[in-house]
Amino acid sequence: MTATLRPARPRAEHVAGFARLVHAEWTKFRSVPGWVAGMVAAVAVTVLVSLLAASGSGSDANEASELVTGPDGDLVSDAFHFVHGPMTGDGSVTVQVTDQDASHDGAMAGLMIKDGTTPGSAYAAVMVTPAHGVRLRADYDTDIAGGDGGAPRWLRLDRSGAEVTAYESADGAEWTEIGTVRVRGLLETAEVGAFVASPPEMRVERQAGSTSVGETATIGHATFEELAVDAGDAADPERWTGDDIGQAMEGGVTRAGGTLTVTGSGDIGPDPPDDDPVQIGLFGAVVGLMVVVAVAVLCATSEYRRSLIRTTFAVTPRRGQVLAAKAVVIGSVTFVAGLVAAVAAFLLTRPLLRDAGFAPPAFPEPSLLDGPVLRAVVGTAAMLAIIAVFALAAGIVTRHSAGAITGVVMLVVLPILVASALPPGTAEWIMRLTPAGALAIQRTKEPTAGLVEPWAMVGPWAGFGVLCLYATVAVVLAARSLRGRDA
Amino acid sequence: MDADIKVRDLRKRYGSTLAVDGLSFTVPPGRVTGFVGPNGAGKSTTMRIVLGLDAPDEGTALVGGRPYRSLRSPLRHVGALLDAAAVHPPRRAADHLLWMAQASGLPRRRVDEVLGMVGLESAAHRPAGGFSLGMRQRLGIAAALLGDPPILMFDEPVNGLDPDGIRWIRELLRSLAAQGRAVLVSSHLMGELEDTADHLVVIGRGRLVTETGVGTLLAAASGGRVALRTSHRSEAMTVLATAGATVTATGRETVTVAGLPTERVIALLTEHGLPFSEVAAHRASLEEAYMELTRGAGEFTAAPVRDAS
Repeated sequence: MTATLRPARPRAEHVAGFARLVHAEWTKFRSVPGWVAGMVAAVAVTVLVSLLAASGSGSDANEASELVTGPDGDLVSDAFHFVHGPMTGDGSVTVQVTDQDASHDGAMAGLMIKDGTTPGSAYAAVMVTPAHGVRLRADYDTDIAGGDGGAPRWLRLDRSGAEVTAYESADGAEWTEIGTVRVRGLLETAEVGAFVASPPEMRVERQAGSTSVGETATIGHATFEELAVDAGDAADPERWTGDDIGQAMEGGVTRAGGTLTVTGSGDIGPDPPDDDPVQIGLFGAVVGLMVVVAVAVLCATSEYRRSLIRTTFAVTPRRGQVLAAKAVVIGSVTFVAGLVAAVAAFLLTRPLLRDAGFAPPAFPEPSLLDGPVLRAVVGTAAMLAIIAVFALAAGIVTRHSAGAITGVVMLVVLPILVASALPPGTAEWIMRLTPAGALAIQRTKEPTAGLVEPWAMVGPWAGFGVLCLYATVAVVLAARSLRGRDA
Repeated sequence: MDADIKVRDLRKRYGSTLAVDGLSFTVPPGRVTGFVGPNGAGKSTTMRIVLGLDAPDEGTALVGGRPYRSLRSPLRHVGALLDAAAVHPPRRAADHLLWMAQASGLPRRRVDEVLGMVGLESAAHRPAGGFSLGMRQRLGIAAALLGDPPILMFDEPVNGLDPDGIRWIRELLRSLAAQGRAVLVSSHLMGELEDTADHLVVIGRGRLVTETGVGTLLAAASGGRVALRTSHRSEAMTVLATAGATVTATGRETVTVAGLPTERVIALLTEHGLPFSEVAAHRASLEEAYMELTRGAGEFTAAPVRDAS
C-alpha cells in the first residue's frame, strides 16, 4: 500500500501536472512512427510544391519600357500635371485650393516641392483629396494624414534645408501644422508649384480561375487661387509653366486673373507589382496543410477507434486538460515542422524566382529578417499549427477520421477554388469568412484584387484571425463534447 | 484511504436499454472479489462507471471513498484492465506504458518493473500491435499495476490466455489480494473464478443476484446431495424417487440425489438389487452453484444489453 490521498494541490503543482500531461502526449505522438513520418512528409511536400510553383511562375515586370524607380530603387508611379518654377534655398509657398473634381477617391490637388521634373525624383507634397482628407506625402513611402474633408482649403509648404513642413487652413488666417518630412537629397534649387493627379480606375475581371486586370485613366480638375511664394530666390508664380510629369496625359493649365485651373492624370506613390515572390515561394503550404490535417485528425480519432481514449481518461480524468495538452503538442510539433518547411522553401526557391524575373528593381531582394518576410515565413508555420489544432478538435468532435479530414480540408481549400471563379467582391467576402483567408499571412504586400490567388484580397492578420476564430470554436465544441459524452 | 470500491444504487441507461439497474455492492480490501454474470449483464458498464468514463444516471461509485474523477493521480489509487485490445498498434509496449507513467508522475523505471512483473521484458520494444491476445492481456495488466494501486479491477483478464497464463494470473490475483489490495475480477464463466475468488458479486440484467462468499455458496449448492453412478439409471431413479428423494439425471450413468443420506441410498439400491459403481457426497462446482442461483431467472442469457462483455 503506497498510495494515499493528498490534499488539493497548490497552483504550482497544477502547472507541473499539466506539463506532465504535455510530456505524456508528446510521448504518444513520437511513439507512432506513422505520425512522425506524416509530419516529415508535410515538410517535404511543402518544400517540393513550393519549388514547383516557383519554377512554374515568372514575371516580366522588369522588362516594361517605362520603369520608374524612386529614391530607394523601388518601383514607383510618378505621373501628374505640375505647374511649377524653381525656388532656391529656404522659403514657403501658399495656395487656396478652391475646388476639386471627385474624379477618383484618391485624386490629388495641392502643392509640391520636387527634385526636378524627372519621374521618380524625391519630393514632398501637401494635398486635398475627395475621400481621404488632407495628406502630407513624401518620397513615395511617407504619408501623414491632415484634417478631414477636401476643397476648399488653404495649403502651405515651408522648406527649411532638407526639411519640409506642411500646414493647412480653412480661412488662410489660422494655420494648423500637419507634419514635417525630411526629403532625401533635396537640391538647393528645387521645383515648387501646384499639381493635380488622378489615379487610374482598376477593373478586375475573374472567370474560372483566370484574372484580367484593366485600367481606365481618370482626369482630375482643380482650381487654385492666391498662389504666393515667400522666398529669397524664387520664380514668380505667374511665370510658372505647366508640364505633364511621367506618363501623365491630357494635362494642362488655364489662367483667369489670379485663378489657376489645372487638369491632370496619373498617380504618385509606390507601385510594386502585385505578384509576391515570397508568397509564391511558400505556396507548397497549401498542399502541406492537407498532410498536417490528416496527421492531426488521426491523433484524435485513432484513440477512439482503439478505445484508447478510455485509457487516456482513466489515467487523466480532467478531460479538458487532456484536450489542451493534445493541442499544445500537435500545435508545437506542426509549428516546428512548418517553420523548417517555410524557411527551407523560402531559401530554396530564391534562385529559381530570381531567374524567373522576380529580381530588382521590380522585386527588391527579400531578406528573412525583413518584417513582412518574417511575418510570412513564421506566419506560414503558425497557420499550419492553428490548422492542426483545428483538425484535432474536429477529430474529437466527430470521432470520425475520414469525415474530419475531408471537412477541414474542404473548409480551407474549397473556398480558394470557389473564390477564384467569382467576382472580386464576392471572393473577398469568402476570404473574410472562411479559414482559407489565412493564406494571406504568406503575403508580404498590400492586399490586391489583381491576382488569381483570392486570399491576396485580404490583409494578413484579417485572414489569420478568421482561422484562429474557427479553431477556437472547434476547440470549445471539442471540450464540451468531451465533458458531456461517455468516453 | 480505505482500499475498497463501493457501488450504491447505480443505474445507467443507454437509449432504450437499461444496462445497470439499481446495483449496489462492495469490493473489500484483502480479497479477490469475483464479478460474475452472463455477457451483457452490465459488468463492463459498471466498471466504466467506477472509472469515471461513463456517467451514471443515478447512484454513486466510490473508490477509496471518493469519486474516481476527483482523484488527481488515479493510477496511484486504482489500476484497471478494461480492454486488452486498447493499444495503438504501431506503438511499442514500453512507450504504451511510458506515457501513462509520465501523465501520472511515475518514474520511468516503473515501466521496466511492471513489464518484468508480467513477463514482457523481452517484448518491451516491440509494437503492441504484433502481440497475441495473451500478451496484450499481460500488457494491460502491467498498465494496471503501474501506479502500485491499492485497488485493482480486471475485466475478463483470462480471455485469450493459455493454461500457463491462466495459472499465472490466478497466482497474481491471489498475491495482490494477500498484499491487502481490493481486487475485482469480472468473468462470464464462473468456473474461471473457482480457484481464485474469495467473494462473489453475481449480477444479471444489471441487477444484483447475490453477494456472497465462495465457500458459503458452494456449501449451499452442495446441500447434502449424493452423486451416484449406476448402469441401471432409470430403475435407480424410480426407486429413489419413490423413497422421497429428488433425483436429477446428470449423465447417461450418473444421477444426483437430494433428500436422502448416503447410507439410505446404498441400502435402497442393495435392497432392489441395482448395481452401482460409485456413491459419494456431491461437491458442487461454482458453475453448478451459479446455475442454481440463476435458475429462476433464465432469461439472463438472452438479455438484450448493449455491451458484450
